[in-house]
Amino acid sequence: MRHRLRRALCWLPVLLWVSSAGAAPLVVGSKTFTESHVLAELAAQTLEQAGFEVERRQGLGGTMVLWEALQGGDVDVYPEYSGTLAQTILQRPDADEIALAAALAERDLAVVAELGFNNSYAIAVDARLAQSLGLRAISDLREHPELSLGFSLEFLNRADGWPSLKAHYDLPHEVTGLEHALAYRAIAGGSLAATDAYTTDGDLEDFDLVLLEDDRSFFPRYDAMLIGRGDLPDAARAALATLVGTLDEPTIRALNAGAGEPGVSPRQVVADYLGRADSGEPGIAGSILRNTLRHLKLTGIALLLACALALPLALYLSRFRRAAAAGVYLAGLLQTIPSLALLAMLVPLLGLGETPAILALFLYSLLPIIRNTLAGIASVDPLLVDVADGMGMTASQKLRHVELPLATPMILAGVKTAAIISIGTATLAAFVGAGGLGEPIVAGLNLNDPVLILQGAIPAAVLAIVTEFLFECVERVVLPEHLVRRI
Amino acid sequence: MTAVRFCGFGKRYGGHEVLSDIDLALSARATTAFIGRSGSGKSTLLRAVNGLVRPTRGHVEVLGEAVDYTALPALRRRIGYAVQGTGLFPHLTIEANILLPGRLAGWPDQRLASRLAQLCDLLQIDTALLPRFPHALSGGQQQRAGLARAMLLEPDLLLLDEPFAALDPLTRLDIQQNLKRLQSAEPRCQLLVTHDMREALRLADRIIVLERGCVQADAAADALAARYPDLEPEQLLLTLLGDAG
Repeated sequence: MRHRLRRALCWLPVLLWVSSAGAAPLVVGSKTFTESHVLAELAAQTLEQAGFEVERRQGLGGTMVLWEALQGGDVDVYPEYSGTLAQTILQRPDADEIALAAALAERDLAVVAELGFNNSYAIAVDARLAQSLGLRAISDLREHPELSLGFSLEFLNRADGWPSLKAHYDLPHEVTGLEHALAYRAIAGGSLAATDAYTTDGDLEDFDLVLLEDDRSFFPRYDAMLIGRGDLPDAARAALATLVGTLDEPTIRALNAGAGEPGVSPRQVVADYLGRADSGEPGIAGSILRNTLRHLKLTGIALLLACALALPLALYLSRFRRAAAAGVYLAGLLQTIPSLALLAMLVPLLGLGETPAILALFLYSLLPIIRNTLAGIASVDPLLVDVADGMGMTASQKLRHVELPLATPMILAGVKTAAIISIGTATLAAFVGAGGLGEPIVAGLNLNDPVLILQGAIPAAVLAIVTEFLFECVERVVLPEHLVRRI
Repeated sequence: MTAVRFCGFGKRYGGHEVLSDIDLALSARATTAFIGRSGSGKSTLLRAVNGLVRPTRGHVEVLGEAVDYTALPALRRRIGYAVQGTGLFPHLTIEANILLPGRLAGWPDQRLASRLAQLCDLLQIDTALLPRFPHALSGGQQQRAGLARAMLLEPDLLLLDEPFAALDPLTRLDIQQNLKRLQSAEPRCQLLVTHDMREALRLADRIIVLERGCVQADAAADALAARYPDLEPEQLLLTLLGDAG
């Protein structure tokens, strides 16, 4: 039993690495809402039809994350809107098409396809509420300061978002920020009266929402387009150019609505639209396996690195009381940084993908390992340390034969805590394009698809339970039975 | 021959003088008992022999040389050390506990095995207990194992820091006899810290009474018994302490 377990553990790192092999494909990114997923999928499948290998980084983040990723080369193509480009990204609200193209060219970027529809921002309210209060246009909101408004975090902070809208229409409301995908549910549940929406949103009908008229012409045009890097291969550029002007508003609304159906992925919807028999999408089992392996790889590497640093460091610090306290304090400080903030801070330094995710998980794993190792060493009976000294043990003999074995239950508990925290936190890695079980969770949240969310949430929970069980097995293998901690 | 010598030895913890002006020479093949109240400094004196305590004043000579505090492990391997509560390592079996000093010293398996058999015989350790872990043994059995571990490397010197204090009287008597047998089979310098005068009279050749960090009385055990034939051991100790005024 012990040998089999050890042999199985030996293969784990190999398994983890296998999933990372492969050449450099074209990377297509998207923002975190359904239409962006659909448009990215359209670009991806068009490129695949032209013979390119494509890596999808769906739901990577907000506008600036995608823009930085495009400039940094982590993403080759992503869907954007003219209004967003002019107002938020380039901050030149009055620039015309030619000026925008020039500004992009300066950065070695280009509009590779204008898709043909305008998806403007709009304010959506519950249809029954609109009827009962007589809400028809955005100006009507001014008469109802009691209504609770909630906007997506991006809209709240955009130059062409809430602050300007509030000033333009002289609206008195205090507003709250929330995830866009949750806002419609909040409206359906009655806790919210209005939120920001897109005019082409496929979910409007499902949630029985109506759009208020922009009676003072606040929102600029948001013509959908694909923007890409200047170094895109000509054949890729030509393939994407075939999409120019192919989508009108009813078409995109239908695609968005299709992709919003539970259990239906943007990939399938786009494959149907393009008349492809097979979307090339891995089955549920395949995608769960792939995401689970990626998840294990992220947490496994982070945990191994954390053990490699934290264990020797803590053993060294345990000799000096003040340094040990400082070590615990510093590691604790790292722990207090919210995971999303830490990931966001690491992206400009390390780009997108696995590296920032692994680094963040590594930093979070340090505290439990350092703290438990120090506590484990400190908990060794002073009489036994005295006896070890009196017996003539050198410091390293004492560590190896007395302190380390007696601290092992605490150390293992620390590593286990770190592993389980990592498994949970790694679901956030999807926000920086590192994949893993967070990918279906984030996509499911964006697409309002509970089935997709469960495809990430259930394996993550199972993984945590299996990890707990594996650590119990390891404890039984390495410790005499009377020293195994029972909780 | 002298095994341990304290020369003007003094020890201070913070502002508190625990031991002062100790001058003693302890002979190589005899058992010396240090006895006194709690806090009299007897354990501190014992722990100065293997360098667990360093002098604030004076120095200690062990086996003919002043203690070299930069090479304590080498010195300590020549000194057996048994403590109250046995100090057995809970993660090691009884056998692994007893043999650990030998393994660290690089003794070959054969030598370890024969020494183990010899100690089990002398200390009456049931060999069926060897594969067990300490928590599964009675206090007396644990104490025997602790003594065996201290004796494994055939040390020139054996330090016993109240090793029998936690045992019931019958078991204590039993092990005291084991220790006497051991001492007659392998005579060496034994230093015993105890607060039990009966034990001191039974085991020791020489009894040193400590009070408030100073030597209060120092006499051969035989001489004490002869001088105070009618006193119970506890009364005898009180008398020796009371002489101080």
